Parts: sequence; C-alpha cells; structure tokens
Amino acid sequence: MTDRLQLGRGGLYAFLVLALVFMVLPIAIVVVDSFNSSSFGAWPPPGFSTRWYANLFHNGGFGPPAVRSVELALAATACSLALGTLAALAIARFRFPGRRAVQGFVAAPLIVPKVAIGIAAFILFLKVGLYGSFGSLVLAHTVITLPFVITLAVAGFARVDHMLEEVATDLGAVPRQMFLRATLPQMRGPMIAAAVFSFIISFDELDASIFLVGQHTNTLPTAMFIYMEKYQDPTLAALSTLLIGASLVAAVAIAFLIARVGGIRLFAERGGAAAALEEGV
Amino acid sequence: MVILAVYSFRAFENGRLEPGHTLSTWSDLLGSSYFWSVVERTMKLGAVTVAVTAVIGYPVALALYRLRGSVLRYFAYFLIFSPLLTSVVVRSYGWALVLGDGGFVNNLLIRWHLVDRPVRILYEFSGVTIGLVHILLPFMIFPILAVLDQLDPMLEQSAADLGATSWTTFRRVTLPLTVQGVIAGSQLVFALAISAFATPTLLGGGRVQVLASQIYSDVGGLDWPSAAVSSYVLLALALVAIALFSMLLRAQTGTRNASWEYAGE
Repeated sequence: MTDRLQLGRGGLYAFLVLALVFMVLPIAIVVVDSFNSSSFGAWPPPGFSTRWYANLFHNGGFGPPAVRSVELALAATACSLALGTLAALAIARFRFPGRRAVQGFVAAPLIVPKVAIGIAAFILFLKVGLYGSFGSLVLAHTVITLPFVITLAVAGFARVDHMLEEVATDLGAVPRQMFLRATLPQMRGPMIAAAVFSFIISFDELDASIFLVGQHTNTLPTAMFIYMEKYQDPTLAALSTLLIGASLVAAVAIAFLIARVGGIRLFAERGGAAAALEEGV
Repeated sequence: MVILAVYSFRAFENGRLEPGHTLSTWSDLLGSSYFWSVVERTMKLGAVTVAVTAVIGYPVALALYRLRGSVLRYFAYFLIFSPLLTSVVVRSYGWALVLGDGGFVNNLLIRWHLVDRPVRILYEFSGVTIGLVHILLPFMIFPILAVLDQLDPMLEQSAADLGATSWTTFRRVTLPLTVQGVIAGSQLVFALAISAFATPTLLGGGRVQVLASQIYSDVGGLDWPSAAVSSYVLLALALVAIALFSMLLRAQTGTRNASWEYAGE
C-alpha cells in the first residue's frame, strides 16, 4: 500500500467522521437543550433545569394528541395489514387482466407528494362530511401505508415454500386451512416488518395529516408542528428527548424481534428503500 | 379487496378534481410571476440539495464500503439512520437551535472571531437546504453503497496491478461503474426535496416559500383552487423528474439497481 493511498484513506475516514457529526449534531443539541434553563434556547445554556419537562406534563397539551397518534397508528396498521396482505396475495398468486396496472396504482401514493394526498383527502372528506373525524385519519393513513405493506407482502409471498402448501393439501387440508396453517406462518417475518414500518410511518406522518386534523383532533406530529410555529421554548426539546429515547428503545426491541423471526434480510433489503420514500421531509 | 384499495385512491384523486376551479385559476396562477418564483425556488432547492447530498454522500459511501466487514460500519449505519428515527419536527427544531442567530454555529463563529455579527442562516434558503441535506443524505448514501457493494474487488486490484495510481483507479474504474448509484440516489433525493413540506416551513419561517408550503398557506387562506393547481404542478414536476432520472438510469448500464423501481415493485 502506497503512502498516497494511506493518505487518501485517512482523508476519507476523516470525512466520514465529519459527516457523522453533521448527522448527529441537531439531535444531540435537542437533548442538551431540553435541560436548558433559558426560555429561548440560548447557547451555551446559562444553566440547567428540568422545568421544561414539568411544563410539558402540566400545560403542554401534548397528552391527548400522543394518545390519538398511538391509536391512529394501531388502527391504520391493522387496516393496511389486512387489506395489503390480501391485495399482495392477489398480485403474487393470480394472473388477472390489468395486474400491472393495479400494481402501479397501488404504488401511486409513493410517488404522489404527501401534501397533494393531504389536500385531496381534505377536500374529499369535507364534501362527504367526514372532515376532522378519527375515521378519516385512519383512512388516509391506510392509503399512505398500504403500498408499503403490499411491497413487503408481495416479496414475502414470492418466498413462500409451495411444498409445504402441497403437503398440507395432500394431508387433507381444505384451502382455507392450508392458507392459515401452511402459508401464513411462513409470512411472519415480512408481516412483522410491514406492521413495524406502517406503525412508524403513521406515527410520524405530518405532511398529509396537517390538512386533515381539526383543532381538537391533532396528532402528535401536527401538535408539535403547530407548537413550533408559535413558540420556540425548550418544551419541544423535552418532548423530543422523550421521543428520541422511546424510539431508541423501540429500535432495539424491533431489531431483536426481527432477528428472532428471521425476517432481517427482507427488512433490510426492501424495507430500507421503501421506508425512505415514506419518511416525512 | 384490491378493488377497494384501488377505489380509495380513485376517490382521492376525484376529490381533488371536483372543486369547480374554472380555467381562470389556472391562467391566473400560471400567469403570475410570483407563482413562477415559487416554482423556481422549489426546483432550485431540489437541485442544490441533490448536488450537496451527492458531494457529501459519495465519499461517505466510499468510506463505508472500505469499512466492510468491520463493526464500525454498523455503528456508522446507526448514526446515519438515527435521524430517521426522530420526527421531522424534532429534527427541524434541532437545526433551528444550531443555526439560529444566538445558536451553536453563530456562537462558535463569533467566539473564534470569524464574524462580528451573527450570520443569518435560519429562515433563509441556506438553512432550509442544510435541513433537507441532513434528512435526505441517507437516501443518497444507500443507493451508492448498494452499487459499490456489488463491485468486484478484483477490478480495482487489476487496475492497481496494471500500474494505475489510486486516484486513476477511482476515476477510471470505480466512479464510472457506480454512477448509476448516484443517479438512483439523485432521483430519490430530488423527488423528496421538491415535495418536502415541514422542513421548508419550519426552517424557512415563512420567508422561503416552496410549492408544498405555498399549498399549506393557500389552504389556510381558504384558497383551495390555487392549492389544487399548485398540487397538480408539484405532482407534474415530481413525475417529470422521476421519468427523466429513470431515462438517465436506463441510458446507463441498466436498471438493475434502480432503487425507485426496487421500492415500487
């Protein structure tokens, strides 16, 4: 190895470290700032206190939106798992006219900007009188998470071992039994991955939801968004720190779960790219 | 069930079509220079974000590639992906603290006597760009890394054996073979950057209007027809951009690693 190559590698690694600092900096600052005693996030912090955590719990008003977000994410995940798995089964197993078109149509919400989905849904719900309802949010989030569940489920069905299905049939299983006892258990990995992603996407969804929530039906992201537009105090940092902590715990738990079920490769291969598309920016 | 899923999209599209916007909204908006300045800013934001993420993302992907087989690589993965685990509002709030007039960066600049007065970054185009680069960098890094990982290490070895310097090897062998990763990454980053809503709104503070934030303020001002026209323009821009990048990708060595198709398939 030549000296120049060494130098090149050293430079490359130094650059990597800088990039990593860049990635982590704003998040680290948020955590530090949540303990800032100054009310406008002065830097460096003149002192430290936990008053923003107290403020968060006493008059932040984030409690109901947080509960609503969890309920919404659970409901949307359940709907898109049920719909998505069946749709994926149809796409993966049957050859029907217009199959490609359906596949393209189902993937459409991946390409259409979330803001456009939001305003379209807003006008639609207003017309049919659903605006501001919990059901309308579930419906919108189902549409947003569906392509993604279908992507993972189609990939999963493609890997299902048909031998097991045939064996089940030979042993006298009716088609429904065969599906439930021989096919679905093999889908456990992809289904868990799909559920996890659709929960995360729904829980973090802002761009479309902001058009759909009424004053009293804020989700956690929309409540935070509106709060940040109005105030800049570290209450938001305190809440963010708690959320960062929660997502770290969840990430570790999910990693373990997926590693145990063995869906990790699928998760990494397909999930990464698709999750990317859904991430709010 | 498929039909039900399909219909839910249908209904949404129709909902956008229905409000009786006559041709006048289209002609008014498309004839206004303000509207075009917003479109231009949106495109510029997309282009600058793509350029910056490519310039930062390529060396990072290369460094990660060289780290293959090392635990460090997974640690780096984690740090790069960590922003994705946090809400976009949290990330924007973090950048507001870092870039604000009394924030972290200005504090350092003043302490080191590089500037006398705080540099305005927050609520400017530059602040929005920094926020978007931060969020979209992983989407540039991973397609490039995916292509690099498929590269035959023998190729670089042979180039070196044939007497090429490391720089020549990179320029003549590695880079041309991984251009499709850059194109795939650019496609993702551009499409996401022009439709970004939260980052330009929060870090632009109303002073950096792009199409998505314009749509939001139009709806706030009850000007639905304008919002609808703007969403169509945004959708059209996204589709054209995606199609152009796909063509570029096809013109390259093939669509094998097109992350867009990968995700959509």
